[in-house]
Amino acid sequence: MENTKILTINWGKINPLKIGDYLAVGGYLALKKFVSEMKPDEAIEEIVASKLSGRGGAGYATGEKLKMVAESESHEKYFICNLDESEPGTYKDRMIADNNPQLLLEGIIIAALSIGAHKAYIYINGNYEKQKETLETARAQAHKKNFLGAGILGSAYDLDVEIFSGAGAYICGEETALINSIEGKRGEPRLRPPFPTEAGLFGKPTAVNNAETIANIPWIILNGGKKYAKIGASCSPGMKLYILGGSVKKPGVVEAPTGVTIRELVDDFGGGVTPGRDFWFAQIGGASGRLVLEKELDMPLTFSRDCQIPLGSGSILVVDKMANISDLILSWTEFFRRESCGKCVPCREGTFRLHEIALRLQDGEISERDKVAIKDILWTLESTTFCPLGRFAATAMRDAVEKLNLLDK
Amino acid sequence: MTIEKILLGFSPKAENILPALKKVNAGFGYIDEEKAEKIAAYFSVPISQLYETATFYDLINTKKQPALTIKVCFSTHCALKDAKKIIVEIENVLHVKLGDENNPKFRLGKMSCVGRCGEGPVVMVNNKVYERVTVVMVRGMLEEYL
Amino acid sequence: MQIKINKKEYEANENETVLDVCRREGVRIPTLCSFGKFKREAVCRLCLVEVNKSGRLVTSCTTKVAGGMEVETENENIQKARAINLELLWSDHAGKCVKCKKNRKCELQTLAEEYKIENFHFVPRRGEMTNAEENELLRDNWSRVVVDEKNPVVERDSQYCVECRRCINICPIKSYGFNHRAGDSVVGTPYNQPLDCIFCGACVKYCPTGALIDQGDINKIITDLDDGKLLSVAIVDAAVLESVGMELNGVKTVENLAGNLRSLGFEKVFDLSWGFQKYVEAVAEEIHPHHTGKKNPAKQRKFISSFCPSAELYIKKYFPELVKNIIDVKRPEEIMAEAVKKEYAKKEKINPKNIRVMLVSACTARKKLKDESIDHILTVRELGRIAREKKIEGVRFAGSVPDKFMNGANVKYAELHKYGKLSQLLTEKIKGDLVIGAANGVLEIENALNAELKKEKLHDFLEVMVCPGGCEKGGGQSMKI
Repeated sequence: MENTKILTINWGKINPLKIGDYLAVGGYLALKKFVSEMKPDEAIEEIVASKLSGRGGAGYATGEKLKMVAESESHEKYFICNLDESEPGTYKDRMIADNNPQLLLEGIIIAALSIGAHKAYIYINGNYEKQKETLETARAQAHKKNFLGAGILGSAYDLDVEIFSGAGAYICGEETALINSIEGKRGEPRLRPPFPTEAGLFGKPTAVNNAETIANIPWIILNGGKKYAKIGASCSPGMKLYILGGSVKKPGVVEAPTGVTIRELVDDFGGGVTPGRDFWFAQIGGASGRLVLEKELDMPLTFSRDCQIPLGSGSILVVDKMANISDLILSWTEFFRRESCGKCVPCREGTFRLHEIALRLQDGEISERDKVAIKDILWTLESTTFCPLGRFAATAMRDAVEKLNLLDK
Repeated sequence: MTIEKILLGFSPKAENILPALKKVNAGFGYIDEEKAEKIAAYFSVPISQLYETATFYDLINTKKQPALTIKVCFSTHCALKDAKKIIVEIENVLHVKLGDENNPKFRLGKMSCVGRCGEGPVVMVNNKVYERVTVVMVRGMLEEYL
Repeated sequence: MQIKINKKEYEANENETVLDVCRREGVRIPTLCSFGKFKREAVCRLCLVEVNKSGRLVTSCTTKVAGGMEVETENENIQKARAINLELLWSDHAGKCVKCKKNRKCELQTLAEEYKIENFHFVPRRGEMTNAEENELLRDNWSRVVVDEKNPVVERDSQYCVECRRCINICPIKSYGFNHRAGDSVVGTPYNQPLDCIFCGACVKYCPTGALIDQGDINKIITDLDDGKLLSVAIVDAAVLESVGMELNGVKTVENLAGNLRSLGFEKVFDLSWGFQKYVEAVAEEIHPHHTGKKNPAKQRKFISSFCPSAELYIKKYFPELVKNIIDVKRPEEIMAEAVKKEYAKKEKINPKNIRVMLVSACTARKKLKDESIDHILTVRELGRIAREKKIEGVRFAGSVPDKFMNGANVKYAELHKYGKLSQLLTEKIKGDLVIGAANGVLEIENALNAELKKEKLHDFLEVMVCPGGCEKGGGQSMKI
């Protein structure tokens, strides 16, 4: 298996609060190459060639997104790094900020300059106070070294990086809701079209990218997009951070290529299921992720639309047979019942009623009426909501019904 | 620190509304009607827009908070680590019911994932985060606040 | 361009949405959050259609037409979506209709009837829940309900709200917000303050359910109407003819209306045009150059019309320094009500204490600034409720003319409720070099008054009306379901 470490390569080896450490291991060479040797569209072409897909979970082609904003004729454009990371079971972006914030910053600067933006925002989860401070220190140090601000590395490029702290709302991880949040409004998703690449922050062309996605950019600039595209799965290549949790012997964040199978992650990286416990199922991608049974553990994880088990955020939760399924169902439903933004009928009312059913499930059996209700609610959440959160709210329950035979009890 | 001083630390642009709300909330524990009117006026937005924004986010309060607010993470990883038992123990120690909004001294609720899934169960007491909480630890954890 | 809807060809214009075309061509699509040309929120998820056999459902209210587009408005998935989403909304409303004041005039009720929403499997029935669960459910649901009965015009009860956002979007001064999140969301005012707005009534008019209704004591009104010892006098603002036919079936003329009012229990029915005439005459006196003498500096000049009570409330709130510039003439209905209780009572030898003057009006703001000579103000909607309560279904009364009030009124004053009429009549009446202008809607009023304050444009008379086009689009008018 590909063993190139792109994201975690310096974790534990450099002091995240000392830019000098990062520079000593080759930090900011990518930015220097970009500024002195490349035109912005050349950089974007490399990212397009790399087939880098969005690591927030949506898996959209990063290069295409950046290209759309770069090609817009507007003088005012924005780049936003999405570090809202609120998916349960996911803390990989936090780890990047904790262990190598300068790598992220370098990626942001390159991406922002390549699209012609003069201002970039890092939208960081409101609970990540420590990480915000780390990033602020990193920013100040980068500024001192002329890696951002006016006249970057003696060029005509200038970039301001603003660190914007969220205020506690999962839906703000959705890019249009995130934009509304920065604009001082409720974090409700917006109607599309127009897309953020046409009219985003303050109505201007905006590219919103997940932090982990951006952290891959310096490597791509230095080594070329074609080389990146050869790593991992060909449909959505690259190295990926996976977060192993639940009943695994060695929980934590690991870096492995895309296309790795769940079994490989659990056994080779995670040390296998916790001794004494029997594997029941795994949930891939957080509370909005699909459930995977033992017989499906050899499926490769990718961002491809054809991939039946989407990677999502990369969270791998191993659930053993001693787990209390009604607690887990309560956890899923309660999460979406609280995090729904409330604007559309199926999600606001559907998540509310699904949670009520989960509360009743705590006490015992599901009534026949509730069984019909579950099926209808899941259907409307999957088919009629304003934004994808509706579908997210239905995924785990749908798999619980179909793979765990929840309604046959 | 008066609210006027806090507001003057921000230029009256839309992108400063949420940071200003958070800072006022941090300074005073919550944002009452009078302060909300001042913030709305400062940023030239209708008070209805400011209030609907403030009430949207978990980390901003528009009502006075009790002296002790405890939130137990009930997202997937922590729920599987018996967060329920921790909730029951807290209910017993403080004699307060989960979700009761009428108790003047304590508020016990569930919260969404804060990104410390490797160190769960996670409990937040008055914005301080406790990791790897067990039922046995609960009484000791709460005692320093009582 | 040409598009196909349910296999039939239709003409469509660029920038129209599928919903626009369907409404124009009479293809039925249920909606709850969209109305007219206002901001499309796409939150009710009832107007879903399938386009070009994509397998996905999209909201017709936001989908722009494209040449050759093929739209299906009815298929299995669409019907399933409507049924489930309506039922989800209905689960909080089932069983409440009989006591609700919007009964029979509610859009949600009408949709539930049309789409045969009969199952309530999202809320467990009594008997299926243990007592503890039932209490939890009720407590949880009730803890979020917002009720406002403290203002004189709009009765709010969010248990009936379907979160369509029409009121939020239509309020000209942004009184409402969408507060809290998820299932706790409530449409309400900041900090749940009682409404203290300009009471233009647009929110009540557009609210599809009983969440926002007219504040008023219908029972007291009916008691007064039925009381044989009292003389119930109706003063009718002809503006109500615009929509009264939606409450009293088929009523289009003032004669029909007069007949219906009499059958409701009004002994006398007068047309407000008498008051209109007195008002115009009084205002003309006030602003006439001989009366005001030389143009006074802006501070003393009284030039703002007092006709529209909502505009007066707006000025009190947002331009308090200009309140003294409002012309000191009572509103037409106040002039007339006072005349009923004084001159008319004296002439007819009736004790004014036994007269009940009720204004039938298209205006809601009048309730906030109600003169004591008026006993009740009825919006068109409230008239409808009274009629339904008394089971008067809009029977026609040909030749049932309103009663003549005093010496009657000149017909040219009959339409003062139309925007622009007042300034037109004054311009005709007063020969001279007066600057007479008009502003319609809060935005225009704001601009005109700002121009006054900055001395950019000074008026001798400024007609101000809040409701677009005047009282015909007043906040008290009824709406088609």
